[in-house]
Amino acid sequence: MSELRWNPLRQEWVIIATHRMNRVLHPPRDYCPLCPTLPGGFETEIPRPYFEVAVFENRYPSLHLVPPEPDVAGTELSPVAPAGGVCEVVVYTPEHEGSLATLSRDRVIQLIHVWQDRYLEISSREGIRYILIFENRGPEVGVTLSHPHGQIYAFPFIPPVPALELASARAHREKTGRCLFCDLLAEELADGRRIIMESAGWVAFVPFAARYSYEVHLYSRRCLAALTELHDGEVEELAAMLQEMVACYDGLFDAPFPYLMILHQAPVQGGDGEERGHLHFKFYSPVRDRNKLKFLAGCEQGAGTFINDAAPEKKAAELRASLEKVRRGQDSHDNR
Amino acid sequence: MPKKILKKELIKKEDGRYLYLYSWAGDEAEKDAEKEETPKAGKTNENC
Repeated sequence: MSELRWNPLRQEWVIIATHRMNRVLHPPRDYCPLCPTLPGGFETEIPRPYFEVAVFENRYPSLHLVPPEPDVAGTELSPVAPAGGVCEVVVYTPEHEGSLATLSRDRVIQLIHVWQDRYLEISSREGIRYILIFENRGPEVGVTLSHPHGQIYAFPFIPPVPALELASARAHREKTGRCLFCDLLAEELADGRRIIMESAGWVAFVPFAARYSYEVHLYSRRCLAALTELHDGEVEELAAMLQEMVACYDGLFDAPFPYLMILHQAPVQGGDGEERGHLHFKFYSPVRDRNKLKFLAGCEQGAGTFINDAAPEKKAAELRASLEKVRRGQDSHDNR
Repeated sequence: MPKKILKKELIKKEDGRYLYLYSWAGDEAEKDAEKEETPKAGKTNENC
């Protein structure tokens, strides 16, 4: 069963995808489906002994290029629709171990170019309205394969989170004539206490009203709508910032840090005058302190109101200290 | 430093799914691709 069911109370589509119950969970290293296929070895998703970056259709897609007919009939109040769209897996490296932080700088630049290419190609496909590039890292956030990889979901609608942000941005633009994201970034820079790092083209910060203790947003300084509008210098800086951000997280407690990394870009195939937003990444983590996880409980799930157990200013200071430690370690390594 | 150009190879899997293998193009491909480079870089969001 694979279909979209409308929830009229929440005004949102829910994807019902029963085949995903059978996904491969934490296979042993010799049977990792994201490794290269070695001569005489286990046949993986990539039938080559070497590759740089690989992208393929998810074996267990939530959204399908050719969606099956829904199994149930909807009603006027609760309609059902085919689960059309795209679900891709992006494998960052043939190496089984590692992370965004440990890849070569050149490989991360290449990965950003791959994201650009996927955005362009998928946006030309009929019926696609929003392309979400993301990475889930760590068993704490439900990752089933540890090999460094991310995913791309292309939806036939604009999902609730970007839809709400774009609606807020439109209302702000109508009121002030300015970009909401640019104004938020200006406020963060003026305050300064929650800034983690900056470059000529990018700024990383814990947002003023962070929902999660170690939530970090990474904004492009220029008001861009998509990765495809970056110039080469901004791509190189972005690669450095992404790597330093993950290294900074890992340095907090000297262990791989679980996170969700989300890339927000403009909707595709919209009409003239549609709000396009502002290119940015969001990092969310369930970690709220050493050996402490944040769970979405009654207040968050039942009321939709988040309780953050830590002051964003304090967590930003912790992240800056970790980044400093990472950079000192890098300097001493470089000077050896 | 010469600009690197991304190339991709499409492989059709036995079950019909697609697989793209991305790599940096060699020098020859680089020259060809530079001629066709799209002028998108540096564009600013027209909404702003």
